[in-house]
Amino acid sequence: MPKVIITAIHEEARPLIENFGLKKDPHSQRIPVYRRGDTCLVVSGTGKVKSAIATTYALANVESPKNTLAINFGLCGCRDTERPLGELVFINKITDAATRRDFYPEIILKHNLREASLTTFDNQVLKGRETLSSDMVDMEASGFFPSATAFIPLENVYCLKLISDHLEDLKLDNPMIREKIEACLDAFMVVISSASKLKSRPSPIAGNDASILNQLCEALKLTITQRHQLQDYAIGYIIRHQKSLDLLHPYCEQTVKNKTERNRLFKTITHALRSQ
Amino acid sequence: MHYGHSNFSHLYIERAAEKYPMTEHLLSRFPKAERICIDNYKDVFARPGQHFQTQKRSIKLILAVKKDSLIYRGSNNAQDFGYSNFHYNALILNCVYNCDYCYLQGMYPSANIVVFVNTEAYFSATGKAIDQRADPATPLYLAISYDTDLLALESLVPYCREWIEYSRRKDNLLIEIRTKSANYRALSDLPPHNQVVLAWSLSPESVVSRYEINTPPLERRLESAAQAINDGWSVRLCFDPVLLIPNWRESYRQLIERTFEKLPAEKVRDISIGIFRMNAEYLKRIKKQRADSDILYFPYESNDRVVSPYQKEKDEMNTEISTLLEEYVDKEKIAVWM
Repeated sequence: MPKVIITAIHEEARPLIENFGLKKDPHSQRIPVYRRGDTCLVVSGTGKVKSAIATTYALANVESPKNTLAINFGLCGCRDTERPLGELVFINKITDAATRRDFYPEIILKHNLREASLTTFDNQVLKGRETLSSDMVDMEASGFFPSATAFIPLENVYCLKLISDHLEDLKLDNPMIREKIEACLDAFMVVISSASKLKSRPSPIAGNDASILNQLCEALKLTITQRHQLQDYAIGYIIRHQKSLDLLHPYCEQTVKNKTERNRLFKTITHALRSQ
Repeated sequence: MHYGHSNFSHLYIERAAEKYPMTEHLLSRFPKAERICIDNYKDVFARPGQHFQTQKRSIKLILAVKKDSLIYRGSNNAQDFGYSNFHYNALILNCVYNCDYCYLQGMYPSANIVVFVNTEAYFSATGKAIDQRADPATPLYLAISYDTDLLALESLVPYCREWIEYSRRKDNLLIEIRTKSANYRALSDLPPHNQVVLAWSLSPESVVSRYEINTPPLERRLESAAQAINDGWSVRLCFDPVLLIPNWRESYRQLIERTFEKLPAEKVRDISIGIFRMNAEYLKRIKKQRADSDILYFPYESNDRVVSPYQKEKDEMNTEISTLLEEYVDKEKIAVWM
């Protein structure tokens, strides 16, 4: 299953780039994109707006949105000092601090990570300066999540965060970030691998049958309504008879000169699909 | 084999629902579940982009407080059994079962289960509706397991029990608890009460195994109904929905024969027959999400925004099934949904 990973900074991205063997896409100048096979990683920059832009940029034109995974991966702060630095957490609720809007990732996947709620702030959060109701804080998730779910199914959108600090004014240096991410890579890969195996939403008609229907729609110049009706009858035929749509082949060769002819032929075809 | 609810991995809890006894009860039943605090159940239940059948693979439990519409007037697509004061309520949204033909797939945006925990508010609204019912000569007829299957969840959320006890305290109320479950044992310690109708939906075993996913087999339902009759409860049988499957005549003949081999016909309160029907808009929404069940794609006709088999087929099915039933029970006991 194609995967799109969004990280905020290069330091978060680098271990993943190396792990997946990704190469920089030379066509993407303003927003750094790395690819290999069906895996794509985008470095958005810090902040929810940049994250939303990068997510949209990466997902707007994916070939098969229903079968694509989107993962926001990055560092987060944690208010609970009992939770260890370097722990990878699965986010189950995202709150935008500015708008108070909540987003709820769909959790169909069975996983072994601890879950947490997270609030996205516009600025860095330090202990005692904000009233926090969630477990974690970051600066991207509330930009990523609604952007990703605008393009791909809710259950394919994941937010995985690595606890990098306990809201103290300590900046992790790059080697420390790298070390912590490398330490959680196995856990990250397990989630991605399980998520890839989850059956995605099925396409009602696929392969050769889809091609026959397309040919027929074009040959008969069917209206939008007729196309929907034809698909409906075709699905019913496939399920009821467990057969492909080969019976429609002869109709693909036919031509129609006017609406009356088209409608007459359409009636014949739908009758065949319903009655057989 | 286990039929019904599983171990819920996540509980979404409305802040307003936190202090209710039912919330505390459910939290104690799932100590290991993730607890996620929410402002309004609709924030989770009505999120855009949900996929009903995907969610059925891992149903979540949402605990909420119902703030309005605590009782509804009966729908035109449901049978009122001659009771003019027909009402229903929604104590729980959604069902632990997953029947292919279920209209809930088209009615709700989510397959997650919402349990409304403010039972007292429902009782109070029901009391008011009893006092204000249009026809004071007949009781308020209230279907409490309408857009759900309460008995299937009874071991977890004992609402049937609470409502049966409530009905003992209230005159002019008749409640119907409709189910596909075989969970009568959850109520079997209660003395029967004549203001409660326990209604079992019955389908041929071939329909149960193919289209009524996760539901108990026909035999288990019949055993449950038989036990309830034996204990003195008023039991209704619902042959609803009757499906236009290829061998429907033989399948429903066998179903009716088997039913009355197991149940004493003279002790059945009444019987309903309902040919498959669904709001056209709901069916359209369901078809957008799934193309894996032939029952959704049979050739149907649409009248007044309700989809069902063609009138000729419906008449034939109603006549055939009524005739079969009349061999066992008086015609007056059979209600046919036309």
